[in-house]
Amino acid sequence: MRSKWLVTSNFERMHELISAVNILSIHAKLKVAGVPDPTNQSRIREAKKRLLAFLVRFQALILDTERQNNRAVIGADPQLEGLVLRYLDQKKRLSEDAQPFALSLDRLRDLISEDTLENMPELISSMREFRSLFEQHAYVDVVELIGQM
Amino acid sequence: MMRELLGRRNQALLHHVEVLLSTIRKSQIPNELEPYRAQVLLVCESLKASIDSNQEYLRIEQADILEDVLSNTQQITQIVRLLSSHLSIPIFRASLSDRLILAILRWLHEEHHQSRHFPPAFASGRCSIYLFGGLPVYLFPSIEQHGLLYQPLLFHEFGHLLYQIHQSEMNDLVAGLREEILDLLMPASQRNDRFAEEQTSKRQIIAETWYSWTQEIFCDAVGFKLGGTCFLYAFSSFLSTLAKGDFYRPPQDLNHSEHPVTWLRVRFLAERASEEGFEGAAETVRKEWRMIAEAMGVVEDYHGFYHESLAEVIINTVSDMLIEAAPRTPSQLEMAGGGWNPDSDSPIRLLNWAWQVHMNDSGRYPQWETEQIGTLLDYSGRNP
Repeated sequence: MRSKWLVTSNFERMHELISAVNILSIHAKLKVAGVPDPTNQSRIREAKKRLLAFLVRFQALILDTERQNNRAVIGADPQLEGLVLRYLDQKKRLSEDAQPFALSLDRLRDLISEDTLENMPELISSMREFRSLFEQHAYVDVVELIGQM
Repeated sequence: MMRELLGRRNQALLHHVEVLLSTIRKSQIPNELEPYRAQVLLVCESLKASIDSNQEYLRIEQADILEDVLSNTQQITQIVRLLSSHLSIPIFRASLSDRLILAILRWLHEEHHQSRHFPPAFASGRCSIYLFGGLPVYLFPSIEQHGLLYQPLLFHEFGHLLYQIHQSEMNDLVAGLREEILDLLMPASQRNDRFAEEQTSKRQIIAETWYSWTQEIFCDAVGFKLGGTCFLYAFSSFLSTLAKGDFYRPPQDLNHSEHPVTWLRVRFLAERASEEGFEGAAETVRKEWRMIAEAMGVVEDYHGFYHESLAEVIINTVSDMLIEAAPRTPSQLEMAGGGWNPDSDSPIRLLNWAWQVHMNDSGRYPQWETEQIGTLLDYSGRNP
C-alpha cells in the first residue's frame, strides 16, 4: 500500500495539471471560434506557467530515462516516474507520425508560450493528449483516495 | 444532451458544496481547529467559483469545449468527494479531547515559517499524514491521542510535510543517493548474460525502493532533531511489536516497500542520537532491540537492499536533507526535560520530561500526566 501523502500529493499535482490543460484548451478553442473567453486572464497566465514549469521538468526526466534505455527515472518521485514511463510507453507503441505525442515537447512549450491563432489547432490536439495521459495516471490515486463501492 | 447533463451535474455539485459549507460552518469545534476550518471553507469557496465557471462555459454555444467542461466537472466531483470523505472529517468528528494533539501540532506549525500557512488537523488512524489544498491532516491512533508519550511521533509525520514543502531540492538529494547506491551495488566485473541482466534489474528495484526508504529515514531524523530522546523512546516503543517482521522481511516484501525494516530504522536513529551526544539513550534502545532479536534467533539480512557500505552515504544524504528542511533545533533545557513551565517552555521539554517520569516512576505516571495535560490545555486555551 502506498503512503497516503504520496497518493494525495500526486492527486493534487494531477488535478492542477488537468485544470491548467482545460483552461488552455478552452482558451484555444474559443480563440479559433472568435468567441470571447470569459476566463480571467490571470488564470490563463497561471495555467501557462504551471504547464511550462511541468514540461521543463518532465522533459529533463524523459531525456535522462531515454539515456538509460528506459530503465530508471532517478530524479523523481515514484508517481512522476510512473508518468514518464507511461508517456514513453504510449509514444513507443505508436509510429512516429501518429498521435499521441507526435509533437516534441520543445514545440509544445513554444505553442503554449506563443499563444498565436495559427498554432491553436496543434495546441488543442496536444492538450487533449496530455489530459488523457494525466487522467489515466491519476485514476489509481482517485480510486485509492475516494474509492469505489 | 451533453450540455444539459453537465448542467445538471454542476448544479448537483453546487448543492453538495453548499451543504458542506453550511455543515462546516455550524460544526462545534475546539478553538485550536479554527484556522483549519477557515482553510477548508476557502477550498469550498474556490470549488463554487469553479462550478460557476463551468456554468458560464456551458452558456456559450460552443460544442467543442464540452469535453473540457466534462473534465473540469470530473475534477470538481473528485475534490468534493475528497472533502466529504477525508478533509472535512477532522471538523465533523471534532471533540474536546482533540485539543491535546491540536495544541502540539499548532505549536509545531507556528514554530516553522515553512508550515505557518498550513493549519493542521488530525483524525484517528494509523500514524500518517496527507496534504491537499494546503490542508495537512495528521492521522494518529485513538489510544495514543490522549497521552503525552507518543505525541513525538507527530514529528516524524511533520517531516513528510517538510519534505513536500522542499520537494524539488529533496528529490534532487534523494536522486543523488540513489545514483550512489546503484554505483555501490555495481559488481567489480560485469558479465554479459541473463544473470547480469537479472542483477541489473535487482539493483534497479533496490534503487527505486530507496526513494521511500530515504524519506522515512529522513522523517525519523526530523523527529529526533525536533524532540530529542522523547522521539527516540516513543519511536522505539511504538514500532516494536515484538514480531519477527520488525527485524526481518523476505525480499518480495522489501521490493518497492514504503518503509525500511524497522530494525534498520532504529539503528539509523540510534546512530544519529549517539552522534548528537545521547549515547546513553541510544544504547538503551539498541540493547533492547538486540535482546529481542536474539530471543527470536533473528539473523540480520536485508537481501541486498542494505549493506554496511551504504551507511555513510545514507547518513550524509539525510544530514543534507535536514539542512535543507531546517527543522527547529531545541534548546539544551528542552532536551533535558526534568520540569516544564508553559509560560516559558515549549512542549518539547514537557514531552522529554514525560518519558523521564514514565521510565523512572511508571506508577506515578498516569496521575502526573493528567495534571500536565490539564496545564498544557489551560495554557493553550488562554493563548488561542
